[in-house]
Amino acid sequence: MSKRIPKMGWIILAALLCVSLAILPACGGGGGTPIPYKNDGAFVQETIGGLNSLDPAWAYDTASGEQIQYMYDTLLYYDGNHTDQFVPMLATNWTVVNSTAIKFCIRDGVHFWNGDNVTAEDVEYSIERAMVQNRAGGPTWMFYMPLLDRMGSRSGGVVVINFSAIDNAVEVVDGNCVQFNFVRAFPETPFLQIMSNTWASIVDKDWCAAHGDWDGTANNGTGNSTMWTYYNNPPKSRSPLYKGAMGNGPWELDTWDAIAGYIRLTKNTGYWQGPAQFNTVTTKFVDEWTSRKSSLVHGDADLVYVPRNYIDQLASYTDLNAIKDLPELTVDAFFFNQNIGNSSTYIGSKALDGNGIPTNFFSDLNVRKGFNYAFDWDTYISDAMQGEATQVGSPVIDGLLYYNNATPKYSLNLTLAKYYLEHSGWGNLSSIGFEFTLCYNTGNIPRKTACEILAENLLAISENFIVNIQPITWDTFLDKIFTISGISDLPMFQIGWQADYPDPDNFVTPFQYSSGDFAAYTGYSNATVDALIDSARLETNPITRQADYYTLQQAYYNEAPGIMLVQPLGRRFFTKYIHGYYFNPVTPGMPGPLYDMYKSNP
Amino acid sequence: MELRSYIIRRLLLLIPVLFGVTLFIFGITMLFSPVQRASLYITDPKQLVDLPTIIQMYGLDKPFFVQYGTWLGQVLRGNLGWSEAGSMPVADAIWHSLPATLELAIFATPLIIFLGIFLGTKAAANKDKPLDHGTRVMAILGWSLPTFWLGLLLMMFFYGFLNWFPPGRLTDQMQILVDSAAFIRYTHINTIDAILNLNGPVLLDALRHLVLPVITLSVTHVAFIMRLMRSSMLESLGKGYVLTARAKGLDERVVVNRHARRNALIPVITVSGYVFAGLASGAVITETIFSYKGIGWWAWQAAVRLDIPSILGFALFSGVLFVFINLVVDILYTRVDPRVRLGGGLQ
Amino acid sequence: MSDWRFTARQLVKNPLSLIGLVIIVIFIIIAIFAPLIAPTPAGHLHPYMIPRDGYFAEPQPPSEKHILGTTQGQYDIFYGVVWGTRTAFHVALVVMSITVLIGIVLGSLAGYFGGVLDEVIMRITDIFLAFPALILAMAIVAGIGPSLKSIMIALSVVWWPSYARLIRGDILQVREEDYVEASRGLGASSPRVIIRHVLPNAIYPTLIMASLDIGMVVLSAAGLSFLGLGTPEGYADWGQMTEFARNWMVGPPGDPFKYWYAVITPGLFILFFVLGWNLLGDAFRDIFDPRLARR
Repeated sequence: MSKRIPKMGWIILAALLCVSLAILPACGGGGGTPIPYKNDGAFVQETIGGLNSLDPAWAYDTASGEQIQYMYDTLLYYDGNHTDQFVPMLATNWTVVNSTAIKFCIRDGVHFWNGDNVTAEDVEYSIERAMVQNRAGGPTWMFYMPLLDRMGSRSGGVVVINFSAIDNAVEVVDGNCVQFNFVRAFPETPFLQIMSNTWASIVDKDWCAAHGDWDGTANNGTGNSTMWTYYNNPPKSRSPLYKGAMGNGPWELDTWDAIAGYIRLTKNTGYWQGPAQFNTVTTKFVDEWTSRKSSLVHGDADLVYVPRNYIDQLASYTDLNAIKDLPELTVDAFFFNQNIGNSSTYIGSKALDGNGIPTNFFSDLNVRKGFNYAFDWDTYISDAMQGEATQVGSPVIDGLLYYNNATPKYSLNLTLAKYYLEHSGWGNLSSIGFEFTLCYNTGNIPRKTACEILAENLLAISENFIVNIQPITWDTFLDKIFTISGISDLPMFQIGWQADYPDPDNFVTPFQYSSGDFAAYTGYSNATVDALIDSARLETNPITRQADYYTLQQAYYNEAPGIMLVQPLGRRFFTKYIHGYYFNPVTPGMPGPLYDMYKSNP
Repeated sequence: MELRSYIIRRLLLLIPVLFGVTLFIFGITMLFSPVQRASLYITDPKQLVDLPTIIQMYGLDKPFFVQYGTWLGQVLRGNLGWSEAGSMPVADAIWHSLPATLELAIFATPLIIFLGIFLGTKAAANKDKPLDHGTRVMAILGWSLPTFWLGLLLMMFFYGFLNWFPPGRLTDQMQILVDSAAFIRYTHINTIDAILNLNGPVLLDALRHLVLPVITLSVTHVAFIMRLMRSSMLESLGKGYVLTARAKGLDERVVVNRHARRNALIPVITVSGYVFAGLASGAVITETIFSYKGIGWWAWQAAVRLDIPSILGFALFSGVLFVFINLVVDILYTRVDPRVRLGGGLQ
Repeated sequence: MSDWRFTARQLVKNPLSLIGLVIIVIFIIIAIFAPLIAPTPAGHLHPYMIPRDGYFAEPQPPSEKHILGTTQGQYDIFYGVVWGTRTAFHVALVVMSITVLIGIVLGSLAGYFGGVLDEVIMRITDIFLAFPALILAMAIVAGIGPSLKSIMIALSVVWWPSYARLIRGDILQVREEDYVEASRGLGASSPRVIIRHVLPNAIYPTLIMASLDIGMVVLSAAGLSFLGLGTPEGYADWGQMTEFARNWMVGPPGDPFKYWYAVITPGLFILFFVLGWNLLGDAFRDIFDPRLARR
């Protein structure tokens, strides 16, 4: 008796299951399932990853930058969707005093959340503090470069500048103005762009000093005149700003739980432009796509991060506002390494015997051109990017100042590719043959696809062109690219670059400059190009500057130090209840101009 | 052997175990080059220029024993280092991530144990009959399911489709309430805190979020307990006193429940300790899928990012847990089985 | 020898273990005949990399060309699960062999000789066991770089301590038996005693554990895949194929189970493989457990 019942129980359970499985598809509703309106006055977004730090001078990642921007204002900001026109924020105006000084006058009546006034002293303190901190791997080089013509405060791990250099670079003048002094002439627009970004946020000097941060002087209240270096490249926790905040922006910090993975901001009712329309802004870090998607379609989240591959899963939800074709300021590219390390395991026999390549294989221009003609951008864009990207011909992309869309680009042409490879400086490569290993970052499918496309096309030109493809983790990638000798072991690699500020110099330097970020790993160096980059960076005459960058874009095509891939077109998936969005490629984070946005039904 | 000296002796074991575990883990991490270990801090191509500074700052190129010695010196002064994976000091990260995992463990362990005991008893009492086969198959099915597969299926059905049980620990409104001054945090375990605050809605909300992760954890572990209970019951059912009880004419149910089961419970109770310890050290996959981020999730982040201070901190934590649980289980064993004495050996 | 025949008969008599046996034999057949069942297309260089039919993201339903459909990225599911059987056996058998071998060697040394050697080896296993297995495996795979080889290394490192312990325990029991005493009394050398007499009798619980664990190894490897520490993209591996399905679990509204083929198929293969070995292992345990009365 007691044995039968459980058995019956299983049968009934199974029957229920089958019945419900049959009914379910019908219950799912027809196309266009409505999304309920929830959480009036609250903005909730779900994305991947996490926050690094809330300290404006420390944070270099967009996730942190986004939250900082909600909490702090800068002196000025981009006007709407422009990248070279600005509106005053904490500064009421700015004037170019002379070619080596720009003066900002500070707005009256703006307060921090605790009531402290925003003063010129706060502005001076904020920028000087950033330069004092100058943490390794941080964004503050962008103050050093224009102001002090250096990349940082240290050399060989030791601080080599005097405090007076920082002090003189930023000064309070005329009572309520701040003047930035450059050691040599620097163009206005790029500097304004740098000052618009989150690392130039204005923090509360009194609050910071009262909470253990630098007090603004060289000796920091002690008898030691170099005491300020205590705050140079500090451990993260030395500043109260890494997880605390005293800002002046539209929202205040409520809670940041780094383990649970969410940050919540609440409205600053005393914001100088008037209170924001969202009472709370909550960002949750949810790595599971299925979970984020469910949140979006249940109305629990107003915006979620949608990986490119899964865009179509949301196609049938009519209550979603899917915004597309947003030209982001990022670019992906292959780099050729013209000087490969001798101990590299990625170049086979290290000789041109058909089973390898020599360490200077890519130093030959025809080889580089041949590879460029062997890449199929159309297939890459349609397959790896779901059609949502545009090919770029040089590092200067659409959205940057002085972008020239008339710059020639390479395109798939196997005949030409074959021609260049057979007329290379190494001889007729089709008969000699070569073999090497191409790496892509583990998990990055578009990069894998790019490698596969290149390999297949090369193989189609000649069966002696053997390219092996291998995934490589980030730490191994660093290891192979940054060897003790300073020469990279990787014959080719892919890098994505995101704009720090929308000036062409920010892109041209890493891609073409012989002292740029990746120059050491590519062995590319052209003295003429270098000279032009140096002069263009500091050129104050806009017409000359444009001509210079046009030349540099052409130079990239002529020299082909790499294979430029694409500029992705971004998307946003809001529910239809969110209004007011417009796109500015420089604004960090997905929601964009959250202060100008609101939520209502409909 | 006297209980107190036994406990002290066993706790002294902590020292070599902790030393050994951390040395071992440190040894593994030293297989990676300084550049690889710097990848924790250099996460974007833009930061490549500062690689040498990072390596120098953290002494990543110093010899093995210098680095281990530095770490050890810090630990002995009470500083476990900084956790990049948790954006807070390592000790804080452990402290903050433990409640979520403990909450899962507190609910999952009893469910696993009781279900396992129940099914195991039923299976043993009906050996080789369809009920035995049936329960064994169900349990083994649970054991054979990939955890993430089951978890995702559950989430897809109960959240994606029915919208009954959302991921995370609390809904946003409840989270705001809990974060506010009106709600006093005693343990950071939502259910316990809700009870202590006499707050019904929060309790219900927390329970609602617990359903899916606890089911996922339980289904995969129940088979283990069930099997153990079954074989233990079978052994116990074959013993002399059972024959005697049956001969005396006692009802079969009494024989099973009162006599056989009590003795069969012994190994199960001791294993419960290990089950709890296993759950308390984090169920990575479950925590990841359901956004119920606890120490398992944190340890995974640390492992994947090569966050060595965090990994070492976690090693300390699990070493302590391991020694402690072993101690508790051994003492429990002596309490429950009169034949066993402290310090080993059967009577 | 009659012991084996008895064992075999017991296996076949018990319906559950019979099912387990049948399942495993089916998988063995699939693994052996994989090139015939799912032939590698011409020109495709690496048979363990699943051939792709384009790069399109959305999984396609079963069709004539793709009997079981395709995963995201258009990898053929049928090919993947068939060759994945080989991968599963490969990983499971390699990890089990290494693990059992190390376990036997160290466990025997510890159990048979006792004393200081025993203490040292036991402390070492303690250290390994004190650290949660999955995290240790993850750290190892993350450091070496995800690949089949690193998974096997990581899982072996994590698994051997339990076997060393197990074998040591059994040897401790067997060591005191009369026939061992006798053989020692006759002057047999220690290795001889261990190999001839002690091990064969101590091995049964190990075999039980090993057969149960084969399924566990595959599950753990799948778990590692899920956490991003699996084989390279496109490798014929069940864990990876479930990982492909991870983000397609809920279909569009009105058709929530649209991608059932991508979600269910690899999961079922893992399920049945593990189920088969578990049923077999359970049956072994029932047969070999000396505490259970033999009929």
